Amino acid sequence: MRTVVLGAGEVGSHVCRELSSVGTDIVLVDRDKGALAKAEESLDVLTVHGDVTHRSVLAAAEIERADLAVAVTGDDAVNIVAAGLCASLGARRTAARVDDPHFLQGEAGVEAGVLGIHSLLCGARLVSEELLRLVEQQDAVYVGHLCANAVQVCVMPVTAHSELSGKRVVEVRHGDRVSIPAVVRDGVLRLAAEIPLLEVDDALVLTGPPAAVAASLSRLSHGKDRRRAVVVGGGEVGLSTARLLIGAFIDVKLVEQDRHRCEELAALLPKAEIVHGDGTSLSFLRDERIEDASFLVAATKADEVNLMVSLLAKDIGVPRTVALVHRPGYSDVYAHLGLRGAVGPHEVIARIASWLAPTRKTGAHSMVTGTGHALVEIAIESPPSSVLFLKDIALPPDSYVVAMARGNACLFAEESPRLALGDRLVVACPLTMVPDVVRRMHKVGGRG
Amino acid sequence: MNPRVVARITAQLLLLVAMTLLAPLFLAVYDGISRAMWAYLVTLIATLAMSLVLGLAGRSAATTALHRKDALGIVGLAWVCLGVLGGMPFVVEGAIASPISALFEAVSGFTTTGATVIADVDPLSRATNLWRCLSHWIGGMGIVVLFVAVFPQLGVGAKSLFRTEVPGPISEGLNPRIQKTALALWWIYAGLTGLCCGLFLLAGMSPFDAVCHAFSTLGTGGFSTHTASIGWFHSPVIEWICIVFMLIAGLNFGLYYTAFTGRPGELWRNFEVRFYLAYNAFIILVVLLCIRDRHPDVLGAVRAAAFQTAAVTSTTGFMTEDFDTYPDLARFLLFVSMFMGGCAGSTAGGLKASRVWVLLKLGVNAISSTLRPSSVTVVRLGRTVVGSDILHDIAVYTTTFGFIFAAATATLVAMGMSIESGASASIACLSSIGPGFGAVGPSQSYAVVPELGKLVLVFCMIAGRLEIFALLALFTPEAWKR
Repeated sequence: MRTVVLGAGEVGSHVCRELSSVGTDIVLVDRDKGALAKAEESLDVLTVHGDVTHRSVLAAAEIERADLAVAVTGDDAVNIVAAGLCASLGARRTAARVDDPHFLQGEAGVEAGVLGIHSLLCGARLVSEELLRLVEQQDAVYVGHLCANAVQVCVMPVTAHSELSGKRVVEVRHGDRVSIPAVVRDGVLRLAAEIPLLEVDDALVLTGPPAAVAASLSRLSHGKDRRRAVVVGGGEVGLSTARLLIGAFIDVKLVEQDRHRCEELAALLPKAEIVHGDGTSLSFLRDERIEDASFLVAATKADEVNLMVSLLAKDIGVPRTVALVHRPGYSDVYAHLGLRGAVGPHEVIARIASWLAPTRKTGAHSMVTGTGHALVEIAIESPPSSVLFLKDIALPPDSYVVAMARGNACLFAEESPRLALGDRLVVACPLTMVPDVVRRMHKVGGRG
Repeated sequence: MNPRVVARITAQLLLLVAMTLLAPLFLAVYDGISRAMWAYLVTLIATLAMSLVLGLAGRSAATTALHRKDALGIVGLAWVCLGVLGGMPFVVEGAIASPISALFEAVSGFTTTGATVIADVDPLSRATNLWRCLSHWIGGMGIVVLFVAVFPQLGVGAKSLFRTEVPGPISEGLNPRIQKTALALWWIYAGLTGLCCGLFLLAGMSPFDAVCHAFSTLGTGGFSTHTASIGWFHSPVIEWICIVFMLIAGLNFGLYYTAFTGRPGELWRNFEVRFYLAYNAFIILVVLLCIRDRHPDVLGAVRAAAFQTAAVTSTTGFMTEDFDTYPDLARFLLFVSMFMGGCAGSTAGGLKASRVWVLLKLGVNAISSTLRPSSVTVVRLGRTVVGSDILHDIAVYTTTFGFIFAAATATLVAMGMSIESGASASIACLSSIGPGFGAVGPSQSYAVVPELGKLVLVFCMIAGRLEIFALLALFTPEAWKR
């Protein structure tokens, strides 16, 4: 397993760290000798000096042997060109970081197939999904991103004061693109269809695209009472966070300092309240009555401002704050100051890039906290020998396919689609069954 | 540096040393020589005890993360331990009386110098001869490099360790992971040694001699199981095999890796390789012209010239003839060749061919720039341009090398050695060759060097093996701060 990382900046070194923890050989390429020397000090990587868009440099990095190439320099155009070149020169998988969402067509944070690049990772969108996830995290037991961020799996408990108990699963209003394939009852995973009525202490397994799952969680746990959110900073991250919040039926107040940008935002976000002002001014925040908000998202371009805004908001009495962190390591500072939830684009991109790596370990599984179940991600790597539908796959007892992804899209597992090459399945199973699941899936051309 | 981390890692490294001691121990048991058996048993126990003490001292190390300073400390401590523990069996067995001479012999072994204080090695026990040659082999690619290869848990810190000990700068074509790189280098090294050993066997050596001489050849050491060295065998075939493998060991092992992983052309396209081989051809030719009339047949003269030249340029130090009796031109050229040594990334010592070439080019550029002050020139090594930071490093390295040579020579001369003997002993140790000229010539031994002089030469040998700065850095106060 060999990865070529293009760009040795903050994101690049983060990607290297994430990837080396899964045990891959890494070649790091950058134009800046100083950055490479710095990386050499702390990372076990081979460095190649040169421009990442030059073919001679990519050849020196032996791009044709790479299982994964990740372009993460600070320049979107350079990343796209470099990743495209890598794809044409024979890298098995490629990913490029873009900060400007206009390079993407849809609303998702990841897009496949642009210029032959397997995944375009949009930092601004991915980080806003992560911010939203942090806000809603406390309501869900487990939140896992799978299939390179196409699928999110959440386990949400049914509490005593929730409206869910006593309902049938089909009656749960979970939103359009989200499904509830299974329920955990008494520590056993059961298909949703087998559960007559939901009880207290059951846990719903929600799957779907990340933004939709976050919206669904928000709606399920808060019912009809509208919540209010304040977003400080109207940059790309602030904008896409506001969009996601509106999608989750939350009222958004967006604070931006630049008058001209405010007008742009007002045009882009008809449902949000756009406020022109300084988010670090105490009197301004009081005037805007931010203490009534359920939570605040600090998403400006400056770390100092985000930290100050979070502290002020906490002081005024906002119950939850989450902040965007640009410089790695600052997340710990937030924790020291008693603020929960800080996330940076570099971490998010690094994590997703490392998911793209085809690891040699069997089953990229993670434990579903508290329930003793694992999620196993299986990619269909050889074409199914005959026409094979999802329901035809024989799985061990108590194991179910809970989600499925094709390209960037999340498919409904219940509809039992026909399997195709490149599909990725998420199987939930008891921890002890993991090897069995991997073995059985192997028979149908899947690799864990 | 963090003394606890240094102690802890060195303790693990000593376990590896203890394992290598098993080979002479088993041989002594097999041969039934109780004195040798006791010598290696005592040393083995001492090594394990040392490892235990260091392990206990370092057991409370809060972290195993290695910093650059720690790596220096580990390599430094490891080499001190290697010298002392490696020399111990010689004293216990009674092969060498003085402990300082035993230290000299052990360091000469592990630095692949091959300078010996034992005038006649034929009567030594087989176990001791094996240990002497085995120390060459282990020291050739480096015990720390071996440690990095077999102890995967070192992580990033392994890189600093590896860089401190690997012979010469290796950068191209290797594996991204330092552990795999170290492992690959050791595999190639072991494979070539096995090949050499097999050919020696076919050429008629006894299995024991074949193994020992293969260790010595690939490590570019020079210890032999016979006082007359390779000349003892009186076999042209063995001599030719030895010439070829000495030159092989003098080339960059990183290139063998590239060659084995599917690009064999790189080996010949490499500029340093061409320069090194061309230089050898030239010296062989001149030496041949000087000694032609001593040999009845031309082929014999070619073989003798090639053997003596390759033995010096690859810094091995075997011999088939006493080159100290050659005409002065040949002697002088061999003396000058002692400074250069082999290629970067080889097990050979010396300044390394690429450094010498770069310095030559730098000189030519300096001359041409006095004629054309505004012309801009770069130094090339083959097709690659050598950056100014590397030029600076090479200039500083060479100057320091020269200073150490001068200082060591001055010390030896002050102790009563002749200028010829003193200077050749210094460079023969600094470049890890072994035999010099005059009192330390191929037919003599280093027993004549005063005890204090031996310590100076021990310093030279380690400085040459660790490429000077790693050793010198240990003597700076900064290295000892935490």
